[in-house]
Amino acid sequence: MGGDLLIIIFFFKETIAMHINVNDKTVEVFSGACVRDVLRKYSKITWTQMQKGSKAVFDGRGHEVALDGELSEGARLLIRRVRRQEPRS
Amino acid sequence: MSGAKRLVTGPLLLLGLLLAGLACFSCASAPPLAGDTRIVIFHFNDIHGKIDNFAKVAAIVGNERRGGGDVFLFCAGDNFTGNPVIDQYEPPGEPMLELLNRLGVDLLTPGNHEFDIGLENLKSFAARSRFPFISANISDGDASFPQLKPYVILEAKGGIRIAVFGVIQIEPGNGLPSTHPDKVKGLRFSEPLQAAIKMKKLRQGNQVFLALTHLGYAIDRKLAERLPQLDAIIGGHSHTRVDPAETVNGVLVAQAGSDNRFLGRVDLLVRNGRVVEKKGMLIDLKEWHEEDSEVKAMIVRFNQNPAFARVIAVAPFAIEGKEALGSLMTDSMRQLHNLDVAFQNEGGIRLNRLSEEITLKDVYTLDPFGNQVVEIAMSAEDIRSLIRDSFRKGNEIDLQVSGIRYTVRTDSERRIQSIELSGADGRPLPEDKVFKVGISSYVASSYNFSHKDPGRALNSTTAETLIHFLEGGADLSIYRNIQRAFQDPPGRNDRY
Repeated sequence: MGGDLLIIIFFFKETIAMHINVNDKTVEVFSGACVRDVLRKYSKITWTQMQKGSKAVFDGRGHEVALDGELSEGARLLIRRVRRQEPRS
Repeated sequence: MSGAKRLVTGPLLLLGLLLAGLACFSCASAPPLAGDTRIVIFHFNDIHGKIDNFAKVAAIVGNERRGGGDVFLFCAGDNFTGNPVIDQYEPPGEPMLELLNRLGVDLLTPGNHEFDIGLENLKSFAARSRFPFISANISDGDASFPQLKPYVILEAKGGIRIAVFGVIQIEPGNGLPSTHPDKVKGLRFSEPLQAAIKMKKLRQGNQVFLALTHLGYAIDRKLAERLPQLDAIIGGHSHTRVDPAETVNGVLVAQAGSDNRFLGRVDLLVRNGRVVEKKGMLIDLKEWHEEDSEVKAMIVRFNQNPAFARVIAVAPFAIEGKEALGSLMTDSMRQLHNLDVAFQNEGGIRLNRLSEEITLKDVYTLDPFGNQVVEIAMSAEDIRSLIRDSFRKGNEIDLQVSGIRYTVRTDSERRIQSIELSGADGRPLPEDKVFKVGISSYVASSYNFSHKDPGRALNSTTAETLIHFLEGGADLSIYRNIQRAFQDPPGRNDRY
């Protein structure tokens, strides 16, 4: 039992949530999540629009980021409507 | 007379347009002086196995090099993971090695996904590469990593020295790059910004001072704030399309998106021993049509990867149905990642049958999405909440499972009345225990369920996990008439 407890404590120590700001909302995701994971959690409707290509995602400086882009704690993402219709990978 | 006028007017008009063009060019660029050195650095990052546009990259870089100028090609990391056809090549990394050598890459800074092919494979890759690996925050202890240096000095015409150092990102939790920890055993990683600042000494005696990073754009900007001695940072990791490159604290910061959609170009003008002009832009490879035919032929050859048809396991019978396939997939997750429980959503099982001879291609057809395995600490009640949400999606069993069994009891309207959990031995699951649960990144981010632990990606995809499980000689004789998730009264999908 003591051993189990130690293992659990070690496990929790390793796990750190990531907090990503999407538009005006903070999304908590698992450590190591990519842009795609955050957007799925942010809004199912938005995620569908992203897949259809009617919306795209940008960083806090206005640069477009790919859906498989890697993230770090506190990153900021902005979702904007775009004209192109091709889906983004 | 009028004819003569016409003859004169044409050249004059052309001359006027030319002068106007030159005047316009001079607005943006310093007029060239004797002794100036113009340096062009092409760069790409986060290719992730997407090799198809390399024939265009070769054409663009080749054209510029044939012009006789100082032209370099930098790679800012993450060449692997993202295209199974390339990732599963044998020997691992071979297509990328041959292509980067053929393209004439001058420098590579490893990204976290370079390590995905395994440290020994990466060492072999580095040993056979015609370019150095640079990273100031990786040390190899026993000095067994070929080509790895903190920085290099390149030389351009006129004795211009270009100092370039590399750095790689590390995770705040474990201090390692975002790859499976086993893949970097034996290497040590230090905090990248501190390691970068120690490189400040390179400013002395070198006319051009650059960082080639795999940190992500936001951290590259922080680096620019803290190390203004740099002329430019060429980065990767966050898959950011920075076009044009931005100047932060006097430092040009560039990144070329991902997946070989863009080729970055940084132009530097060196005069009197320092960079007096710098700019960066992206070339959209979709708009470029010229291809290097030799590189194109290499790409065609690599895309016909014979290893994809390799049989990785032989089952005593065809494995059929979502229950059997889901059980196989979740068993692989649970056993390879040392978890207590694993779940797989049915939507992520894209085949109904695996024939006796299972190939690599079969696995990627069964599981094509590239989802990561995510580990989350969950109580029995958390597990129920996950099952509850999954069941509500279609009023049917949705999650296949390993490590436990479960029964969803419903009323006649298929409203959930209770969810019973039991261990493999059939006894009820203890309510006070915390379980290490494995799910795909899709389930982790798309399903609504309670969990205090945010979870962590294990830097291994569900498909790769299944491949290793099958290659490891898994007992496939158990995947017949198998069912671990039940519905009472039985639903449409219940077979046994």
